[in-house]
Formats: sequence, structure tokens, C-alpha cells
Amino acid sequence: MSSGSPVAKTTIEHRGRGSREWLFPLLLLLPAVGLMLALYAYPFVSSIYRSFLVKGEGAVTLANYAKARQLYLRDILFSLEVSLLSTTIAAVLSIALAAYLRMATGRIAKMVGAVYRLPIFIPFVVVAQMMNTFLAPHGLLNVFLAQLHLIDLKAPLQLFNWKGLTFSFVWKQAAFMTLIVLSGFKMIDDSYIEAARSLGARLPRVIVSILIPMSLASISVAVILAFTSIMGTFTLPYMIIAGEPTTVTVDIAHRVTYFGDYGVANALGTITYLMVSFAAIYYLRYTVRKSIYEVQEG
Amino acid sequence: MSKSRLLTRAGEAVLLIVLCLIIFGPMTGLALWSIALRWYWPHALPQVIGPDYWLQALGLQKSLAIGAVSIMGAFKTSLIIALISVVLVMAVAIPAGYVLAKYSIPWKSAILLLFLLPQAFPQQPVFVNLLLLFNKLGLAGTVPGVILVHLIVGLVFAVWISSATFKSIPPELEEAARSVGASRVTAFFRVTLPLAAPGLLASAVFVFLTSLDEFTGTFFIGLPFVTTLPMLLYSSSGYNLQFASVIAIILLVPSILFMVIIERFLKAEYIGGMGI
Amino acid sequence: MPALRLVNLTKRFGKTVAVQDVSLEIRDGEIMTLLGPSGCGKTTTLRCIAGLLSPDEGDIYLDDRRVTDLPPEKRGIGLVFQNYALWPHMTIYENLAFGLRLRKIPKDEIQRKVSEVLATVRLSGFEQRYPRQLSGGQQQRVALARALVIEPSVLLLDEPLSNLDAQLREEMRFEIRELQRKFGITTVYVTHDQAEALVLSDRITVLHGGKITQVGTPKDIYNRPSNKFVAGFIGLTSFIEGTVVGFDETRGYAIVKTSDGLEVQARSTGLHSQQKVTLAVRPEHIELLPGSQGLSRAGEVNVFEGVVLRMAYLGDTIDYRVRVGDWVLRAHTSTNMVLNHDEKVWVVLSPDQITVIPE
Repeated sequence: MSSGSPVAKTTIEHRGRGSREWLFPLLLLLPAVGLMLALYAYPFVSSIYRSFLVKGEGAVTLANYAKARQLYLRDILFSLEVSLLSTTIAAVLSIALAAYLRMATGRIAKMVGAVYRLPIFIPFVVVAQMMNTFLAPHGLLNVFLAQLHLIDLKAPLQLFNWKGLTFSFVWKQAAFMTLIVLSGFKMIDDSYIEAARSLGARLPRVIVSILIPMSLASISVAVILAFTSIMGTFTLPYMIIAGEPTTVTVDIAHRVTYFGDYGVANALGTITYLMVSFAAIYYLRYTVRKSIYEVQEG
Repeated sequence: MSKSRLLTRAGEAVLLIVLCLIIFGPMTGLALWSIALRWYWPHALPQVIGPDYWLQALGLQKSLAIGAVSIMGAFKTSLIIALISVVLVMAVAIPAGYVLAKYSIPWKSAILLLFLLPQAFPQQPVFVNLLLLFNKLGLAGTVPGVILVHLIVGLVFAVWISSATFKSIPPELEEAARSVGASRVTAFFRVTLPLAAPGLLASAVFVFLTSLDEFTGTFFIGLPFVTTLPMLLYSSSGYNLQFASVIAIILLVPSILFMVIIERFLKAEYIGGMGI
Repeated sequence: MPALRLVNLTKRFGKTVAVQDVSLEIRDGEIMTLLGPSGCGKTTTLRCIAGLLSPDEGDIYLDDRRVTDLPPEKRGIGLVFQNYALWPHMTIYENLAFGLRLRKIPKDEIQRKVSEVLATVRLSGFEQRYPRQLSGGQQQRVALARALVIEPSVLLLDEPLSNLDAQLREEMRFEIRELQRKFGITTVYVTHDQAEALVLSDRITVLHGGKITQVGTPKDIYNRPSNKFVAGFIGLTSFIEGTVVGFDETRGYAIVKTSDGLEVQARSTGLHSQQKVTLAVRPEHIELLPGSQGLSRAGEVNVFEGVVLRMAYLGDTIDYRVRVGDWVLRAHTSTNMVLNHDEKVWVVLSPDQITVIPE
């Protein structure tokens, strides 16, 4: 470090020039990067690598994938369907809610703004337990609907399947997505909206033609993070879904805890990677570019 | 007030009511179950209520009849793991966040990428393979093993939040300190760090809660020997809804408190990873 | 018939009154500037006209039609913003066609109208570009074109030039003026820049603290400010306070005596003896004479002895601050008139170029 030398006390170096200027920051980064490499990157790569290995055989093989396909094709499709459905519903709801919060003023809007975000911080395990009591055949939802005479309690809604799972995912993710989309909407200066209104645009037109296209970046980040998170969530389907079909994440746990079969578990894991890969790559490129750009700006 | 405005207000009120039903409905279910001593189908509300499960859970009452145990053991385990995780994570994340915010360094994109991967891809397969590794190292089923998992989950958020915090501090402030004779280290500790304190504190509380609520990693690495609160919640949810509801509320309250107090410090994108 | 009429307009934000009891008539085809410092209520007034804010009291009439409760999209008013507000995700063509499409105008007519208006703002051929590919001045011309293409009854401009650099700003002043004449459109122009207001307005409304302080032609406002605020806001005006002690009947001047004993003569308009007044003098109306030259005129009417306090080159002129008695006067002289700090100087004020503002 240069602080000991008398010269350094009176001059301010340019950042990033010369070899010693980047050695010190790299040292500061080392513990974090080391931990990430050992405890994240290594198992990440190993999960892909091991998906091609079968116990006792040395060669690389596709046997695990064949077995995964044979046993879990239905669950793989189920995961994809539920993730797409939940993400789509949550996206539509969150865009509508964010548009409302962006445009509305007054006390009701403030209250809506305070209430909608409650699910954001509630951990999945608590959401799961909540939905366990709420969605059960004898749960609060069915009782409530029966009080309104919308259903007969003798034939309650059966919700411990894709319906309840989708409801739970939307419940949890729509709030988070609204927060991100709203932060995008808020970055749009009022004048862009006012210009459209003065030219004759009503509210729905403003949302479709101005708000959404001008915050596509925020919206896609929200959609991608929600989709990835839903696809990778283990807790909620594990605690909510009764019977078949279930999600790939639950299958992975079964494979590991009941059979100790890491090969098929990793094949399923790699399949979940593939299912989010388009979204993930877009997100990574976008965020890395943005971070580097921001540093150079600052 | 004009007619169209009245209509708008009415529409807004309906929106608020529907939203409240959807958000508070499941929470109400949880609250009712935590105090329900007898609730037979098809009654709309519990027939007998009482604080018995709460008392039992908090170790204030010991009754064999309701089949619930004390949560105090799991609570202690959770607390110890969370506290150690926070200290370790912050010690590593603060310097890393500072460097990522203030320096241009070689391999920067690769390093950023490394810290973004856990957000972009499902984490469960990583935990599965950590289990393999920890089996070999004798860390599986131990508290240190669980702490290491929580470290990884918390580290990513801590690095991003502290990096964002440092980025928001104008570099001129530190440069001004150095121009009047402060060394780089002095400038950091006397100028930048105090300004960053609120953001770093938010990040620490966030890491604490992430650890407290962490499920998937603990499930693979910790079971069956390390029982944290979420594990206890999971294992009781199958046979004892009341007891599970009590634990869920205990986990719920700090999360909501945290959100109310500290949300303004956080960028929206980092919040999504809570309690994976 | 006025094209736009504001009647007792009042707008409050919480406890602060942003606009207070403003009544104003804007004639068909004129360009009216709302001028004042920030917080004077000019933008709030503009936003009430546009329908982006609803006034707490008062009414707005467009061509004698009451529009106070109409939302902005139903008023047919063109709006131009300080930041241009061109939608970045649309091409120039799409920006301009936006309002026309909402009016269900056939496609070929939209195309015709867009290329026509682009030609008038000298941007033909820019249809397929995106706003970020244009310079600030070009973007501002597109913003103008977007507002004009829907043929609004009134055009509102909110500080449209303040994001441009000084040279471009001056060019655009004339350009806006010319476009406005060409279209003959009733225009309300909001600015805090008095030079801008003087150059391009038919009439100016000076606002202060949410109230109208003076309405008049640029010439009126500049030469006959009705109060101290207007005089001070428009140009760098120096003030001298005193009491009317007599009159020079033959020349029509009032004699004003200050507390420190100066006697200043100024053109009198309906003043009476013992009235307290403020005299306002613009910097270009103050003549400075160096010691040797001035000495010969000592004792003449409106010639005073002073001391140079400070000087600053402004390129084409020199800005002096001169102390005369208890008063500090700002004077602008040509650059060959060089006086030093602390130098003695003679100050000559022409009685015809002093504005008398009664208390």
C-alpha cells in the first residue's frame, strides 16, 4: 500500500493505472471471489459435469438424461408450464398495478402502494405454510367462497396442484415484479406522459405506447428474475403439491435424499439451467454491461 | 366532485379491497391456525381458541396433549448461524463491494458475472453438489457446513448492496480528504465508511434475515442433524398445522418489520432473493 | 374575442398558494409570455391551461368554451417541454404521427401532414431517425412540430430553450417567433429569461409570488416597469430612493431629493410634492466620465461624483459598480472606457431615461 510514502500523502493517483494500483484492489476482492469460486462456481460446474457421469463408469454418458426423460418428462413440462403461466400472470398484474401506482395520486393509491409490497420479504417457507392453511380443502379460501355461496363446501376447490402453486407463485412474485416495474416507470419523466396526453392519448394508450416501451429493460429484468426464481424454487412445491405431477426441484430432492442418485439429480438440475438459460444470459449480459457503464460514468 | 372522478374513486376503492383480501387472506389463515385449539370442518371460524401452541412453542408450557415442542433449540441454532454468517459475509463483502464500485480492475466482467450467476440460475443443483463436497470434507450435517451455505446465499446480496452503496458516494469526497493529506486508508475510514454506514447496515440486516429464512441450502446440507426454524416449520407442517403456523408467524414478523424500516436503502432487484 | 381566457385562477399546493387570482386574456394569434423567477407560478399557470393540474378556483375558457374540468387529452392543446419529451423508443415519424393516429386520420394523410410539418421545421428526411440521433436544437424543432401537427387551438411552451447552449438559444428564439407567425397560432410561452421574453413576445405577463404584477408589450415592460420588482427583474436596474421636493415645470421634470442629499431630476408623470418614489436606471443609460472630463460638467443637473467599486469585462462592454453617495449604481460602458478601482468618476443620468416608480 502506498500510504506510508511521503509522496502519496500529497498526490491523488489516477485509479487503475500502473500495476500496483490494481494489485491492492484485487487483494481486497480475493476472499469474496475465492469463496464464490469454491462454494458456488465449483459446485455449479460440477453439477453440469456430473450429469454426464454414472457411478462406476468412467466414460461420459447421456444415460442420466435418458433416465431423467423416462421418469420425469411430465414433471419437466409441468415445471415449465407452471413457471411460464405464473410469470405471465404475475407480469400482467404487476404492470397494471405499477401503471396505476405511477399515474394515481391520493390516499387510496398510497394505501395500495403500502399493501401490495408486503409479500416481497416473506420467505418462501412462510408463504408455503400460509398457503397450506389458506388453500386447503377446509382452508380459509374455500370457507370464504362458501360463505359467498360461490362454491359448495361438500365439493371444495382442490388447490394442492398446479392451481394452488400458480396462485402462490403469483402472490409472492407479483409484488416483487411490481416493485421493479414501478421503479422503471418512475424513471420516466412526467413530460413524456403529459406530451402523449396533450396529443389526445387516454390512460390505456399511455400505458401501452409510452410506459411499457420506455421501461422494457425494467420489465424484462422483472420477468427474468421472477421466471428464474419460480423455476428454481424448491420450498413451495415441496410443501404444497400433493402427488403427481410435481416440479423438477422436488424430483431433484427425491433423487438425492431417497436414492442418493446424484447423476440423475444433476441431469435434472442441468435441465433447469437450460430452461432458464435464455432469460439468464440476457439478464447477465444486460446487468454486467450496465454495471461497467455505471462505474465509468461515476 | 365530478361524476367521472367519483367513478374513479370507487374503482380505486374496489382495487384496494380486493388487494387487501388477496394479501391478508393467507396471513389471516396463518394467524387463525396459530390460535386454533379446535377447528372442525365445515366451520368458518375455530370453535375453541387459545394461546396454548404459542406458550408451548416459546417453552412456557409443557403439555404432551397438543404434540408441539419448544422452538427454543431451533431458534438458538438459527440465531447462532445467522449471526456468524452476517459477520463473515460483511467482512468479505465490504472490501469486495468497495473495489467493484470504485476501481476499474482487470477481469471485471468475469468477476461481476460470478456474483450475478446465483441470481440468474437456480441454486438447488449447487446445493446438491455442495452436499457431495461436504460429505467428503465431513461438513455435511454440521453447523459450520450450514454456515458456509448461508455465506454463499448472503454474500451475493451483500456484495451488490454494498457496491451500490459505495457507488452512490461521490468520489470527490474521498479525493478531497486525500488532497488535504489523508492517506487512502484514513480517507476510507473517516469519510467513505461513515457515509456508507446506513446502506451497509441495511445489507447486514438483509443477510441476517436471508440466513434466518434460508430453506433449500439447509435442507440439503443440514438435515437431519441441524434443525433451524425453517426446518422445524417444514417438519411440523405435515402433522401439526397449529405449531407450524406459530413458527411461520415468528419468521414472518422480522421480515415485514425489516421491509418497513429499511426498504428505501435497497435496490429492488436484490430483494427478490429473500428466503430461497 | 380572446382565444384563451383565465378567470380568477387560483391553485394551492398544500398551504402554499402557487397561483393566486390570476385573470388574463390572450388574444387570437398572439404570443404571450409568462415571465418570472422560479416559483412565481408561471409553470403552474401553464399546467392548469394544459389540464395537467386542475385549479382550486377559477375557470379557463378556450374560444369561449369552458374547459376547466376537461382532461388534457380532450383540450386539443399543443405542449412543448423543456426536455423536449420526444419518446426515445419511437422514430421521428412515429413521434409526429402519434397524435394524428389517435385522431383516426387516414394513413396517407398522416404521411402528408408529417412531411409538411417536418419541412417547415427544416428537418425533411429525418423521418426514420431516432431522437437520440438528433442535436438538441433539432430535437426541440421536432418537439415543436409534434405539437403543431395536430393543429391545436393553443400552443404552450414551457421553458423550451433552457436546455440549449447560448448561441443556439438565440437562433431558436427567432425560429420559434417565425414558426408562430407562420402558423398564426395563439401561444403561451413560459420563461424565466427576460431577454428571451423581450425578443419573442407580443405581450409579456410578469408574475411574482403567484400574482400578476404587470401585463404589457415588451417595450412597456422594459421602459415603464410599473413597480420595483419588474424593474429589477428585467435587466440590471439600479435603484435610488427619495422624496419629490419640487418640479421643473418648463421641462416637465420632478426633482427628487435622497436621504443623503442628492438631487436627481426625472421625467414626471402625475407626481405630487412630498411623494416617496423609487428611481430606476438601467445600466446602459448611465454615462460615466473620467475625472478630467467630468470636472467641467460638475454642478450640472444630474451629474454626480462617484467612486469605482468594481469592474468586470463582459466582452463587448464593461460592467462597473459605482458608489454615488449612499447608492451603488451599475453602469455598462464601451470597452475603451477604462477606469480603475477606487478611481474618481463622474456619473451622468439622463432625466428622460429614469423611470419613476411611486411607492
